[in-house]
Amino acid sequence: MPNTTPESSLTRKVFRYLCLLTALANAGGNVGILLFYRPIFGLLGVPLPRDLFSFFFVSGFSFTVGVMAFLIYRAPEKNLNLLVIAAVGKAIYSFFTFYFFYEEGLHWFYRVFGVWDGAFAVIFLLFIIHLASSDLDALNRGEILPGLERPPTRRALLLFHSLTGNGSGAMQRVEAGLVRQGYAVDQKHVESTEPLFHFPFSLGEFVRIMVRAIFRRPTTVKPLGIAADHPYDLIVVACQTWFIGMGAPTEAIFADPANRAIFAGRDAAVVTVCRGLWRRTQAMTIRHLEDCGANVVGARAHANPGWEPARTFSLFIFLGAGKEGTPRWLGRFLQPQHLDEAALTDLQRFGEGLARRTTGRASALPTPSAVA
Amino acid sequence: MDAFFSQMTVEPFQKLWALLALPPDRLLPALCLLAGFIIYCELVRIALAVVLTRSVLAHVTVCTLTFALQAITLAVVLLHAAATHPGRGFINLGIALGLYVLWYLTGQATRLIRPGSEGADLGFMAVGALITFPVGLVGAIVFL
Repeated sequence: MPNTTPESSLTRKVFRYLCLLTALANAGGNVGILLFYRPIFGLLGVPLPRDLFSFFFVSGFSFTVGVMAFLIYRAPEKNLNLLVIAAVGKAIYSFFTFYFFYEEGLHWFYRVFGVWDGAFAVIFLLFIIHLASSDLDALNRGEILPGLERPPTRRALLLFHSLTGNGSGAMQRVEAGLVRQGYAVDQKHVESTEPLFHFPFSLGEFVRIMVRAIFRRPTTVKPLGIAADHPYDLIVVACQTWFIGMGAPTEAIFADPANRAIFAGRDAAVVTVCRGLWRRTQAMTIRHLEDCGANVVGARAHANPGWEPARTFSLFIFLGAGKEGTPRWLGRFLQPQHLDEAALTDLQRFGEGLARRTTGRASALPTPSAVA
Repeated sequence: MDAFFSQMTVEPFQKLWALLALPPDRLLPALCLLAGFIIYCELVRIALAVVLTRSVLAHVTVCTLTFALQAITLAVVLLHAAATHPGRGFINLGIALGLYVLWYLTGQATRLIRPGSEGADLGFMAVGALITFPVGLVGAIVFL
Protein backbone atom coordinates (compact mmCIF):
# COMPACT_ATOMS: atom_id res chain seq x y z
CA MET A 1 0.00 0.00 0.00
CA PRO A 2 1.85 3.08 -1.18
CA ASN A 3 1.52 6.23 0.82
CA THR A 4 3.23 9.48 1.63
CA THR A 5 2.05 12.48 3.58
CA PRO A 6 -1.62 12.19 4.45
CA GLU A 7 -4.22 14.74 3.46
CA SER A 8 -5.29 16.14 6.80
CA SER A 9 -3.10 16.19 9.87
CA LEU A 10 -6.07 16.76 12.19
CA THR A 11 -7.90 13.68 10.91
CA ARG A 12 -4.69 11.68 11.15
CA LYS A 13 -4.14 12.89 14.72
CA VAL A 14 -7.66 11.89 15.80
CA PHE A 15 -7.25 8.41 14.29
CA ARG A 16 -3.82 8.01 15.87
CA TYR A 17 -5.14 8.82 19.34
CA LEU A 18 -8.00 6.41 18.83
CA CYS A 19 -5.37 3.78 18.05
CA LEU A 20 -3.54 4.70 21.26
CA LEU A 21 -6.80 4.42 23.16
CA THR A 22 -7.49 0.89 21.97
CA ALA A 23 -3.81 -0.02 22.44
CA LEU A 24 -4.07 0.92 26.11
CA ALA A 25 -7.48 -0.75 26.46
CA ASN A 26 -6.40 -3.98 24.77
CA ALA A 27 -2.90 -4.32 26.17
CA GLY A 28 -3.44 -2.78 29.60
CA GLY A 29 -7.01 -3.98 30.03
CA ASN A 30 -6.19 -7.60 29.34
CA VAL A 31 -3.31 -7.64 31.80
CA GLY A 32 -5.70 -6.19 34.36
CA ILE A 33 -8.39 -8.75 33.60
CA LEU A 34 -5.98 -11.67 33.77
CA LEU A 35 -4.75 -10.49 37.16
CA PHE A 36 -8.12 -9.50 38.63
CA TYR A 37 -10.73 -11.47 36.77
CA ARG A 38 -12.00 -13.20 39.93
CA PRO A 39 -12.86 -10.02 41.89
CA ILE A 40 -14.06 -8.16 38.75
CA PHE A 41 -16.31 -11.03 37.67
CA GLY A 42 -17.57 -11.42 41.25
CA LEU A 43 -18.42 -7.72 41.43
CA LEU A 44 -20.30 -7.73 38.10
CA GLY A 45 -21.91 -11.11 38.52
CA VAL A 46 -20.10 -12.62 35.55
CA PRO A 47 -19.81 -16.42 35.76
CA LEU A 48 -16.21 -17.62 36.05
CA PRO A 49 -14.84 -18.95 32.75
CA ARG A 50 -15.47 -22.69 32.25
CA ASP A 51 -12.50 -23.08 29.93
CA LEU A 52 -9.55 -21.20 31.43
CA PHE A 53 -7.28 -22.01 28.49
CA SER A 54 -9.66 -20.32 26.01
CA PHE A 55 -10.17 -17.38 28.36
CA PHE A 56 -6.42 -16.82 28.72
CA PHE A 57 -5.85 -17.44 25.03
CA VAL A 58 -8.42 -14.78 24.01
CA SER A 59 -6.90 -12.33 26.49
CA GLY A 60 -3.45 -13.03 25.09
CA PHE A 61 -4.65 -12.51 21.55
CA SER A 62 -6.43 -9.31 22.51
CA PHE A 63 -3.21 -8.11 24.18
CA THR A 64 -1.39 -8.77 20.90
CA VAL A 65 -3.92 -6.62 19.03
CA GLY A 66 -3.18 -3.89 21.57
CA VAL A 67 0.51 -4.10 20.69
CA MET A 68 -0.41 -3.88 17.01
CA ALA A 69 -2.54 -0.80 17.70
CA PHE A 70 0.41 0.79 19.51
CA LEU A 71 2.70 0.15 16.54
CA ILE A 72 0.06 1.73 14.28
CA TYR A 73 -0.12 4.73 16.63
CA ARG A 74 3.65 5.14 16.43
CA ALA A 75 3.90 5.03 12.62
CA PRO A 76 0.55 4.65 10.83
CA GLU A 77 1.89 5.02 7.27
CA LYS A 78 4.50 2.31 7.81
CA ASN A 79 2.01 -0.07 9.37
CA LEU A 80 -0.94 -0.02 6.99
CA ASN A 81 -0.88 -3.80 6.74
CA LEU A 82 -1.14 -4.04 10.54
CA LEU A 83 -4.22 -1.81 10.28
CA VAL A 84 -5.72 -4.33 7.88
CA ILE A 85 -5.03 -7.21 10.28
CA ALA A 86 -6.38 -5.21 13.22
CA ALA A 87 -9.57 -4.33 11.30
CA VAL A 88 -10.15 -7.97 10.39
CA GLY A 89 -9.33 -9.20 13.91
CA LYS A 90 -11.62 -6.68 15.60
CA ALA A 91 -14.47 -7.45 13.19
CA ILE A 92 -14.19 -11.20 13.77
CA TYR A 93 -14.01 -10.80 17.55
CA SER A 94 -17.04 -8.55 17.44
CA PHE A 95 -18.96 -10.98 15.24
CA PHE A 96 -18.22 -13.99 17.48
CA THR A 97 -19.15 -12.02 20.59
CA PHE A 98 -22.37 -10.97 18.89
CA TYR A 99 -23.12 -14.59 17.97
CA PHE A 100 -22.44 -16.01 21.42
CA PHE A 101 -24.31 -13.17 23.15
CA TYR A 102 -27.51 -13.63 21.13
CA GLU A 103 -27.33 -17.36 20.50
CA GLU A 104 -25.52 -18.86 23.48
CA GLY A 105 -26.44 -16.50 26.31
CA LEU A 106 -23.02 -14.95 26.81
CA HIS A 107 -22.91 -12.52 29.74
CA TRP A 108 -23.43 -8.82 28.88
CA PHE A 109 -19.95 -8.03 30.23
CA TYR A 110 -18.41 -9.63 27.14
CA ARG A 111 -20.76 -7.72 24.84
CA VAL A 112 -19.08 -4.49 25.91
CA PHE A 113 -15.88 -5.77 24.31
CA GLY A 114 -17.80 -6.90 21.24
CA VAL A 115 -19.31 -3.46 20.72
CA TRP A 116 -15.92 -1.84 21.35
CA ASP A 117 -14.23 -4.06 18.78
CA GLY A 118 -17.01 -3.58 16.25
CA ALA A 119 -16.59 0.19 16.56
CA PHE A 120 -12.83 -0.13 16.15
CA ALA A 121 -13.14 -2.39 13.12
CA VAL A 122 -14.94 0.54 11.46
CA ILE A 123 -12.46 3.10 12.84
CA PHE A 124 -9.51 1.09 11.51
CA LEU A 125 -11.13 0.75 8.09
CA LEU A 126 -11.73 4.50 8.00
CA PHE A 127 -8.09 5.07 8.97
CA ILE A 128 -7.01 2.80 6.11
CA ILE A 129 -9.20 4.81 3.72
CA HIS A 130 -7.64 7.99 5.07
CA LEU A 131 -4.06 6.81 4.65
CA ALA A 132 -3.96 4.49 1.63
CA SER A 133 -2.22 5.88 -1.44
CA SER A 134 -2.28 9.37 0.02
CA ASP A 135 0.37 10.39 -2.51
CA LEU A 136 -2.48 10.63 -5.03
CA ASP A 137 -4.17 13.38 -3.04
CA ALA A 138 -1.68 16.05 -4.09
CA LEU A 139 -2.39 15.24 -7.73
CA ASN A 140 -6.13 15.28 -7.15
CA ARG A 141 -5.92 18.64 -5.41
CA GLY A 142 -4.83 19.94 -8.80
CA GLU A 143 -1.13 20.30 -8.11
CA ILE A 144 1.36 19.96 -10.94
CA LEU A 145 4.47 18.38 -9.47
CA PRO A 146 8.00 19.26 -10.61
CA GLY A 147 9.27 17.56 -13.73
CA LEU A 148 12.52 15.68 -14.04
CA GLU A 149 15.79 17.56 -14.37
CA ARG A 150 16.44 16.99 -18.06
CA PRO A 151 16.67 19.22 -21.14
CA PRO A 152 13.15 20.25 -22.19
CA THR A 153 12.18 19.43 -25.75
CA ARG A 154 8.73 21.06 -25.53
CA ARG A 155 7.24 18.07 -27.27
CA ALA A 156 4.47 15.92 -25.83
CA LEU A 157 2.91 12.60 -26.72
CA LEU A 158 -0.75 11.92 -25.99
CA LEU A 159 -1.47 8.23 -25.67
CA PHE A 160 -5.02 6.92 -25.49
CA HIS A 161 -7.62 4.45 -26.58
CA SER A 162 -11.10 5.84 -27.08
CA LEU A 163 -14.10 3.63 -27.69
CA THR A 164 -16.89 6.20 -27.80
CA GLY A 165 -14.96 9.40 -28.44
CA ASN A 166 -15.17 10.70 -24.87
CA GLY A 167 -11.49 10.08 -24.18
CA SER A 168 -10.32 11.51 -27.49
CA GLY A 169 -12.46 14.62 -26.90
CA ALA A 170 -10.76 15.08 -23.53
CA MET A 171 -7.32 14.70 -25.09
CA GLN A 172 -8.08 17.29 -27.78
CA ARG A 173 -8.48 19.84 -25.03
CA VAL A 174 -5.32 18.76 -23.18
CA GLU A 175 -3.52 19.15 -26.52
CA ALA A 176 -5.03 22.62 -27.00
CA GLY A 177 -3.69 23.65 -23.60
CA LEU A 178 -0.22 22.29 -24.29
CA VAL A 179 -0.07 23.91 -27.75
CA ARG A 180 -1.19 27.21 -26.29
CA GLN A 181 1.88 27.15 -24.06
CA GLY A 182 4.25 26.38 -26.93
CA TYR A 183 4.31 22.60 -26.97
CA ALA A 184 4.34 20.51 -30.12
CA VAL A 185 2.00 17.58 -29.63
CA ASP A 186 1.66 14.17 -31.26
CA GLN A 187 -1.27 11.86 -30.65
CA LYS A 188 -1.05 8.10 -30.63
CA HIS A 189 -4.31 6.17 -30.76
CA VAL A 190 -3.85 2.82 -29.07
CA GLU A 191 -5.39 0.01 -31.12
CA SER A 192 -6.21 -3.42 -29.83
CA THR A 193 -5.20 -6.41 -31.90
CA GLU A 194 -8.59 -7.94 -31.09
CA PRO A 195 -11.65 -6.90 -33.08
CA LEU A 196 -13.74 -7.20 -29.91
CA PHE A 197 -12.91 -3.68 -28.77
CA HIS A 198 -15.01 -1.53 -31.04
CA PHE A 199 -18.13 0.60 -30.69
CA PRO A 200 -21.03 0.16 -31.12
CA PHE A 201 -21.03 -3.45 -30.05
CA SER A 202 -23.52 -6.28 -29.74
CA LEU A 203 -24.90 -7.47 -26.40
CA GLY A 204 -22.65 -10.54 -26.57
CA GLU A 205 -19.59 -8.39 -27.18
CA PHE A 206 -20.56 -6.08 -24.33
CA VAL A 207 -20.88 -9.01 -21.95
CA ARG A 208 -17.47 -10.34 -23.04
CA ILE A 209 -15.85 -6.94 -22.54
CA MET A 210 -17.55 -6.60 -19.14
CA VAL A 211 -16.53 -10.03 -17.87
CA ARG A 212 -12.99 -9.51 -19.09
CA ALA A 213 -12.85 -6.11 -17.40
CA ILE A 214 -14.04 -7.55 -14.09
CA PHE A 215 -11.57 -10.45 -14.18
CA ARG A 216 -8.80 -8.29 -15.66
CA ARG A 217 -8.31 -10.50 -18.69
CA PRO A 218 -5.72 -8.63 -20.74
CA THR A 219 -5.70 -7.82 -24.42
CA THR A 220 -2.80 -6.90 -26.67
CA VAL A 221 -2.29 -3.74 -28.68
CA LYS A 222 -0.63 -3.05 -31.98
CA PRO A 223 3.00 -1.90 -31.64
CA LEU A 224 3.14 1.75 -30.65
CA GLY A 225 6.17 2.38 -32.84
CA ILE A 226 7.75 4.75 -30.36
CA ALA A 227 11.47 4.35 -29.80
CA ALA A 228 12.97 4.47 -26.32
CA ASP A 229 14.98 7.57 -27.30
CA HIS A 230 11.89 9.48 -28.44
CA PRO A 231 11.96 13.28 -28.28
CA TYR A 232 8.99 13.78 -25.94
CA ASP A 233 9.61 15.27 -22.51
CA LEU A 234 5.99 14.66 -21.49
CA ILE A 235 3.62 11.75 -22.06
CA VAL A 236 -0.06 12.11 -21.23
CA VAL A 237 -2.00 8.88 -20.90
CA ALA A 238 -5.80 8.92 -20.95
CA CYS A 239 -7.83 6.01 -19.72
CA GLN A 240 -11.54 5.28 -19.40
CA THR A 241 -13.03 3.37 -16.52
CA TRP A 242 -14.34 -0.01 -17.57
CA PHE A 243 -16.05 -1.74 -14.64
CA ILE A 244 -14.16 0.10 -11.94
CA GLY A 245 -10.71 -0.34 -13.52
CA MET A 246 -8.59 0.59 -16.51
CA GLY A 247 -9.89 -0.10 -19.99
CA ALA A 248 -8.16 -3.20 -21.32
CA PRO A 249 -6.47 -1.65 -24.40
CA THR A 250 -4.87 1.14 -22.36
CA GLU A 251 -3.69 -1.27 -19.70
CA ALA A 252 -2.23 -3.48 -22.42
CA ILE A 253 0.30 -0.73 -23.17
CA PHE A 254 1.94 -1.47 -19.85
CA ALA A 255 1.68 -5.23 -20.18
CA ASP A 256 4.12 -5.20 -23.08
CA PRO A 257 7.69 -4.99 -21.69
CA ALA A 258 8.82 -3.37 -24.94
CA ASN A 259 6.80 -0.27 -24.01
CA ARG A 260 8.37 0.27 -20.59
CA ALA A 261 11.30 2.20 -22.01
CA ILE A 262 8.93 4.76 -23.54
CA PHE A 263 8.02 5.99 -20.06
CA ALA A 264 11.31 5.44 -18.20
CA GLY A 265 12.84 8.68 -17.04
CA ARG A 266 10.10 10.84 -18.57
CA ASP A 267 7.45 13.11 -17.11
CA ALA A 268 3.97 11.70 -17.41
CA ALA A 269 0.42 12.81 -16.67
CA VAL A 270 -2.84 10.93 -16.37
CA VAL A 271 -6.34 11.81 -17.56
CA THR A 272 -9.23 9.64 -16.41
CA VAL A 273 -12.65 9.79 -18.04
CA CYS A 274 -15.60 7.92 -16.61
CA ARG A 275 -19.26 7.70 -15.72
CA GLY A 276 -18.61 8.16 -12.02
CA LEU A 277 -15.93 5.89 -10.57
CA TRP A 278 -12.43 7.12 -11.35
CA ARG A 279 -10.22 6.45 -8.32
CA ARG A 280 -9.20 2.88 -9.08
CA THR A 281 -8.61 3.58 -12.78
CA GLN A 282 -6.47 6.57 -11.92
CA ALA A 283 -4.49 4.68 -9.27
CA MET A 284 -3.90 1.78 -11.67
CA THR A 285 -2.67 4.10 -14.43
CA ILE A 286 -0.36 6.03 -12.11
CA ARG A 287 1.12 2.86 -10.59
CA HIS A 288 1.74 1.41 -14.04
CA LEU A 289 3.55 4.59 -15.08
CA GLU A 290 5.60 4.62 -11.89
CA ASP A 291 6.48 0.96 -12.38
CA CYS A 292 7.86 1.90 -15.80
CA GLY A 293 10.02 4.59 -14.19
CA ALA A 294 7.94 7.61 -15.22
CA ASN A 295 7.69 10.72 -13.09
CA VAL A 296 3.98 11.42 -12.72
CA VAL A 297 3.54 15.20 -12.55
CA GLY A 298 -0.21 15.58 -12.80
CA ALA A 299 -3.56 13.84 -12.93
CA ARG A 300 -7.11 14.84 -13.72
CA ALA A 301 -10.27 12.80 -13.50
CA HIS A 302 -13.62 13.84 -14.90
CA ALA A 303 -16.98 12.15 -14.88
CA ASN A 304 -19.79 12.64 -17.35
CA PRO A 305 -22.35 15.23 -16.26
CA GLY A 306 -25.81 14.37 -15.00
CA TRP A 307 -27.59 13.11 -11.92
CA GLU A 308 -27.56 9.65 -10.43
CA PRO A 309 -28.94 7.11 -10.90
CA ALA A 310 -30.07 8.38 -14.34
CA ARG A 311 -26.42 8.76 -15.36
CA THR A 312 -25.66 5.09 -14.71
CA PHE A 313 -28.75 3.82 -16.51
CA SER A 314 -28.09 6.26 -19.37
CA LEU A 315 -24.61 4.80 -19.78
CA PHE A 316 -25.92 1.26 -20.16
CA ILE A 317 -28.67 2.45 -22.53
CA PHE A 318 -26.05 4.34 -24.55
CA LEU A 319 -23.78 1.29 -24.73
CA GLY A 320 -26.72 -0.87 -25.78
CA ALA A 321 -28.18 1.55 -28.31
CA GLY A 322 -24.82 2.59 -29.74
CA LYS A 323 -25.71 6.27 -29.81
CA GLU A 324 -26.65 9.09 -27.48
CA GLY A 325 -30.22 10.25 -26.90
CA THR A 326 -31.82 6.92 -27.86
CA PRO A 327 -34.60 5.93 -27.29
CA ARG A 328 -36.09 9.37 -27.64
CA TRP A 329 -39.13 8.62 -25.47
CA LEU A 330 -36.87 8.58 -22.42
CA GLY A 331 -36.35 12.27 -23.05
CA ARG A 332 -34.61 14.18 -20.28
CA PHE A 333 -33.95 11.06 -18.25
CA LEU A 334 -31.04 10.28 -20.56
CA GLN A 335 -27.88 11.99 -19.42
CA PRO A 336 -24.99 13.17 -21.65
CA GLN A 337 -22.35 10.55 -22.41
CA HIS A 338 -19.52 12.98 -23.01
CA LEU A 339 -17.75 15.44 -20.74
CA ASP A 340 -19.34 18.84 -20.40
CA GLU A 341 -17.69 22.13 -21.30
CA ALA A 342 -16.62 22.82 -17.71
CA ALA A 343 -14.65 19.57 -17.61
CA LEU A 344 -13.13 20.17 -21.03
CA THR A 345 -12.10 23.70 -20.05
CA ASP A 346 -10.43 22.28 -16.94
CA LEU A 347 -8.56 19.78 -19.09
CA GLN A 348 -7.34 22.57 -21.33
CA ARG A 349 -6.08 24.41 -18.25
CA PHE A 350 -4.49 21.16 -17.14
CA GLY A 351 -2.62 21.00 -20.46
CA GLU A 352 -1.42 24.56 -19.95
CA GLY A 353 -0.33 23.75 -16.41
CA LEU A 354 1.61 20.73 -17.59
CA ALA A 355 3.41 22.85 -20.17
CA ARG A 356 4.36 25.37 -17.48
CA ARG A 357 5.54 22.79 -14.96
CA THR A 358 8.78 23.44 -13.16
CA THR A 359 11.68 21.03 -13.18
CA GLY A 360 13.97 19.97 -10.44
CA ARG A 361 13.12 16.44 -9.45
CA ALA A 362 16.34 14.46 -9.66
CA SER A 363 14.74 11.13 -10.52
CA ALA A 364 11.41 9.43 -10.75
CA LEU A 365 9.83 8.36 -7.48
CA PRO A 366 10.76 4.91 -6.27
CA THR A 367 8.33 2.36 -7.58
CA PRO A 368 5.74 1.26 -5.05
CA SER A 369 4.86 -1.91 -6.94
CA ALA A 370 6.36 -4.17 -4.31
CA VAL A 371 3.57 -3.34 -1.96
CA ALA A 372 0.90 -2.23 -4.42
CA MET B 1 -14.69 -40.86 6.63
CA ASP B 2 -18.49 -40.82 6.83
CA ALA B 3 -18.28 -40.45 10.59
CA PHE B 4 -15.89 -37.56 10.12
CA PHE B 5 -18.25 -35.65 7.83
CA SER B 6 -21.37 -36.56 9.79
CA GLN B 7 -19.93 -34.75 12.80
CA MET B 8 -19.31 -31.56 10.85
CA THR B 9 -20.57 -28.51 12.74
CA VAL B 10 -23.22 -26.59 10.85
CA GLU B 11 -25.26 -25.43 13.81
CA PRO B 12 -23.84 -21.87 13.90
CA PHE B 13 -24.71 -21.46 10.23
CA GLN B 14 -28.22 -22.76 10.84
CA LYS B 15 -28.66 -20.27 13.68
CA LEU B 16 -27.39 -17.40 11.53
CA TRP B 17 -29.68 -18.48 8.70
CA ALA B 18 -32.60 -18.44 11.15
CA LEU B 19 -31.57 -14.96 12.29
CA LEU B 20 -31.48 -13.78 8.67
CA ALA B 21 -35.18 -14.64 8.45
CA LEU B 22 -35.68 -11.39 10.39
CA PRO B 23 -37.71 -13.01 13.19
CA PRO B 24 -39.98 -10.39 14.82
CA ASP B 25 -38.91 -11.42 18.32
CA ARG B 26 -35.19 -11.07 17.49
CA LEU B 27 -35.22 -8.20 15.05
CA LEU B 28 -32.51 -6.18 16.80
CA PRO B 29 -29.72 -8.77 16.47
CA ALA B 30 -30.79 -9.49 12.88
CA LEU B 31 -30.61 -5.80 12.03
CA CYS B 32 -27.24 -5.43 13.78
CA LEU B 33 -25.89 -8.31 11.73
CA LEU B 34 -27.10 -6.91 8.41
CA ALA B 35 -26.06 -3.35 9.26
CA GLY B 36 -22.56 -4.54 10.17
CA PHE B 37 -22.38 -6.44 6.89
CA ILE B 38 -23.47 -3.43 4.83
CA ILE B 39 -21.07 -1.04 6.58
CA TYR B 40 -18.11 -3.42 6.35
CA CYS B 41 -18.71 -4.17 2.64
CA GLU B 42 -18.84 -0.49 1.70
CA LEU B 43 -15.75 0.45 3.70
CA VAL B 44 -13.75 -2.45 2.28
CA ARG B 45 -14.78 -1.46 -1.26
CA ILE B 46 -13.61 2.11 -0.75
CA ALA B 47 -10.43 1.05 1.06
CA LEU B 48 -9.48 -1.26 -1.80
CA ALA B 49 -10.18 1.32 -4.52
CA VAL B 50 -6.69 2.80 -4.67
CA VAL B 51 -4.54 -0.13 -3.53
CA LEU B 52 -3.49 -3.53 -4.87
CA THR B 53 -3.89 -2.09 -8.34
CA ARG B 54 -2.49 -5.17 -10.06
CA SER B 55 -4.39 -7.74 -8.06
CA VAL B 56 -7.15 -9.58 -9.91
CA LEU B 57 -8.58 -10.77 -6.59
CA ALA B 58 -8.72 -7.22 -5.24
CA HIS B 59 -10.37 -6.00 -8.42
CA VAL B 60 -12.99 -8.74 -8.45
CA THR B 61 -13.64 -7.98 -4.77
CA VAL B 62 -14.12 -4.28 -5.50
CA CYS B 63 -16.47 -5.08 -8.39
CA THR B 64 -18.44 -7.53 -6.24
CA LEU B 65 -18.73 -5.06 -3.38
CA THR B 66 -19.83 -2.23 -5.66
CA PHE B 67 -23.38 -3.57 -5.50
CA ALA B 68 -23.72 -7.27 -6.34
CA LEU B 69 -22.89 -8.92 -3.02
CA GLN B 70 -24.98 -6.56 -0.90
CA ALA B 71 -27.91 -6.48 -3.33
CA ILE B 72 -28.08 -10.25 -3.79
CA THR B 73 -27.66 -10.90 -0.06
CA LEU B 74 -30.50 -8.54 0.79
CA ALA B 75 -32.67 -10.10 -1.92
CA VAL B 76 -32.06 -13.58 -0.49
CA VAL B 77 -32.75 -12.28 3.03
CA LEU B 78 -36.05 -10.71 1.93
CA LEU B 79 -37.19 -13.88 0.21
CA HIS B 80 -36.10 -16.08 3.11
CA ALA B 81 -37.75 -13.75 5.63
CA ALA B 82 -41.00 -13.59 3.67
CA ALA B 83 -41.16 -17.38 3.41
CA THR B 84 -40.30 -17.96 7.07
CA HIS B 85 -42.53 -15.26 8.56
CA PRO B 86 -45.42 -14.73 6.13
CA GLY B 87 -47.22 -11.42 6.28
CA ARG B 88 -44.13 -9.39 7.16
CA GLY B 89 -42.85 -8.94 3.61
CA PHE B 90 -43.68 -5.25 3.34
CA ILE B 91 -42.18 -4.46 6.75
CA ASN B 92 -39.02 -6.24 5.64
CA LEU B 93 -38.96 -4.16 2.44
CA GLY B 94 -38.89 -1.10 4.67
CA ILE B 95 -35.98 -2.61 6.60
CA ALA B 96 -34.13 -3.22 3.35
CA LEU B 97 -34.74 0.38 2.33
CA GLY B 98 -33.26 1.49 5.64
CA LEU B 99 -30.19 -0.65 4.98
CA TYR B 100 -29.77 0.98 1.57
CA VAL B 101 -29.87 4.38 3.28
CA LEU B 102 -27.22 3.15 5.74
CA TRP B 103 -25.14 1.89 2.79
CA TYR B 104 -25.33 5.32 1.15
CA LEU B 105 -24.48 7.17 4.35
CA THR B 106 -21.50 4.91 5.03
CA GLY B 107 -20.06 5.65 1.59
CA GLN B 108 -20.67 9.36 1.93
CA ALA B 109 -19.10 9.40 5.40
CA THR B 110 -15.75 8.42 3.91
CA ARG B 111 -15.65 11.80 2.18
CA LEU B 112 -15.26 13.39 5.60
CA ILE B 113 -12.00 11.59 6.27
CA ARG B 114 -10.69 11.43 2.69
CA PRO B 115 -11.77 14.41 0.57
CA GLY B 116 -10.78 12.58 -2.62
CA SER B 117 -13.10 9.66 -1.90
CA GLU B 118 -15.84 9.05 -4.43
CA GLY B 119 -18.19 8.20 -1.58
CA ALA B 120 -21.26 6.10 -2.20
CA ASP B 121 -22.01 5.17 -5.80
CA LEU B 122 -25.70 5.94 -6.04
CA GLY B 123 -25.78 4.73 -9.65
CA PHE B 124 -24.67 1.18 -8.96
CA MET B 125 -26.62 1.16 -5.71
CA ALA B 126 -29.71 1.80 -7.85
CA VAL B 127 -28.74 -1.16 -10.04
CA GLY B 128 -28.50 -3.19 -6.83
CA ALA B 129 -31.91 -1.95 -5.76
CA LEU B 130 -33.30 -3.35 -9.01
CA ILE B 131 -32.17 -6.76 -7.79
CA THR B 132 -33.17 -6.47 -4.13
CA PHE B 133 -36.57 -4.83 -4.23
CA PRO B 134 -38.32 -6.70 -7.06
CA VAL B 135 -37.31 -9.98 -5.42
CA GLY B 136 -38.47 -8.67 -2.04
CA LEU B 137 -41.74 -7.44 -3.52
CA VAL B 138 -42.45 -10.78 -5.16
CA GLY B 139 -41.68 -12.51 -1.85
CA ALA B 140 -43.96 -10.12 0.03
CA ILE B 141 -46.85 -10.72 -2.38
CA VAL B 142 -46.41 -14.50 -2.65
CA PHE B 143 -46.13 -14.97 1.11
CA LEU B 144 -48.72 -12.36 2.08
